[in-house]
Amino acid sequence: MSGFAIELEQVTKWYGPVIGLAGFEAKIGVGVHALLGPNGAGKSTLFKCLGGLVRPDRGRVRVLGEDPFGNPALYRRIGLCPELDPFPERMVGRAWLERIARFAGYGPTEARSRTEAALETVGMRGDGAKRLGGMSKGMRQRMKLAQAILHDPEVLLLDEPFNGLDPVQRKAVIDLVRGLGGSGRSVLLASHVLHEVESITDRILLLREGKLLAEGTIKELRDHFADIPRRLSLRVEEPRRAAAALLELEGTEGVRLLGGDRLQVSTRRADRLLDWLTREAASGALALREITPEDEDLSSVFGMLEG
Amino acid sequence: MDATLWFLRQLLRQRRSFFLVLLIGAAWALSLGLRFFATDLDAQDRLVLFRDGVGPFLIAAVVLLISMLYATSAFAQEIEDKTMFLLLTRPYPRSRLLRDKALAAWIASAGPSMLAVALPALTLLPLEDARAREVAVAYVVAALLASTAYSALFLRVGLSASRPIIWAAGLAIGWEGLVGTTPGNLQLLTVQHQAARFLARTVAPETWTLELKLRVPEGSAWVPALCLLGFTALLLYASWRRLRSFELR
Repeated sequence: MSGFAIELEQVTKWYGPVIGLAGFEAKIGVGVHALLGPNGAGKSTLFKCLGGLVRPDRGRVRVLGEDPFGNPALYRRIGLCPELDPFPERMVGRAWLERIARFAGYGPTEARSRTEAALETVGMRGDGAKRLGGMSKGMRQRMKLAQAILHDPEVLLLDEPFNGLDPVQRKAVIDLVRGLGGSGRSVLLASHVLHEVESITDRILLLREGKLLAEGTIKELRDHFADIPRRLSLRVEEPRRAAAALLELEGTEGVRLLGGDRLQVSTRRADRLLDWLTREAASGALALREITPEDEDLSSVFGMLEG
Repeated sequence: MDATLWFLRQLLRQRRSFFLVLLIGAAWALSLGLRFFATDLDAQDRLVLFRDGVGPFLIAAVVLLISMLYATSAFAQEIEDKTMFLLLTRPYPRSRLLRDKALAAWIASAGPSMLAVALPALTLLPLEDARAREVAVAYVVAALLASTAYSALFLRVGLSASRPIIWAAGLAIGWEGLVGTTPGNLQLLTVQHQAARFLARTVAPETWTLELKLRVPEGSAWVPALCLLGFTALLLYASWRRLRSFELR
């Protein structure tokens, strides 16, 4: 086995006329890696390939050096938290987890103790007696996470693990994922929200239309499009005076007055602009009320990368 | 065995178990009605009535419906609920999954099927008569054989069809209903006919006058039993082939 926990070579998967993955290539080692992409980018297909649920039409998938499709021995070393809710709704959460542990090959006593440990880890010990169908979205999300970590896997595949979590739960799960990545495991985390993963890892894989669009640290990716104009919306006390000053600034491509106290700046040097705004606001020369980046959502980032 | 029991419990806990109780209850109510309202029937009449009327109906309709209820959902329900995901991503080999599921579907189908036949037999047949006891046992064994083949058939359907119960009903009506009642050797390709052949061989072949007009070729009772078991084995193999390459999309 190479030094990588996950290796994908030219992986292509079709669902009839729809392409799920199109020659996807990546090598992933230990630590947390984030897979980012808009809905329909192929994240879930990739997870299904890695989890052995679907077989690629072309290319090669290796997890811990083995082909995952129909490889139950390997599943002992993989934990998969899916985006979908695979629950038998009428079952009690704790009993369901125990059953999952039994399917993982543990005896009744071991299954029970692993269930309790997993419930404790995801903060669900007190709610384990509830029926799965009666659990909130956040609880269900944590139950999915519990079944993924129950057997202490070496590779964790987490598909949108933060969906439906409230801020407190989100923080707890972020800490948990960070901890798992820090303990020598390989964690691949899919999300379509950039700021969620920024707090966990800076190792990013950007996916779009089944292809790997870019790979690297957040800094590397940002550097990649640093020269592309970015738009910021500002609310200032004197927009006309501010617009005139902004037009003098290096990198400014244009300024639009949007009415009232709002204006929009387009710049190739967002760093310069932000420095200037900070300086002017601190000195009192500019009464700055609000700054809103208009193209920092993931779709815009993809747009920049594609452009 | 632990997983089989788990799957069995899951199957029996389904809402459709209501229909199971209804089917067994209806079969029993029918025989109770005949027993208590047709008071002019003597022991011999009741034996003929069961052997030629109630018994074949139970095999061809009730056993088929019970097997359809459970075997179709053994996999189909898991696929529909996406819980199949958890089975396929555990260190739980697919061969064992098939074995445990098939066993659970078979127990859920065969047990109630035998009960649905045994209760009317106990009610209608004059069991002090040794011949009637033989008839009762033969029918219960035929129900077992038929439900074994049916559960394998519908297990396979449930692994492929998006609306398995509709496909299974189509198969049952189309194949068992039409082919099973056509004159000629084509009948031999139906489960109900093979079960009836088994009965004909075990219960008085010389007086066998099935109202379904089934052909009963010469041969021992083992032939139809082996045909049904061979059919079951073939279907289980087909299910294995399907499950081995099954992808959860």
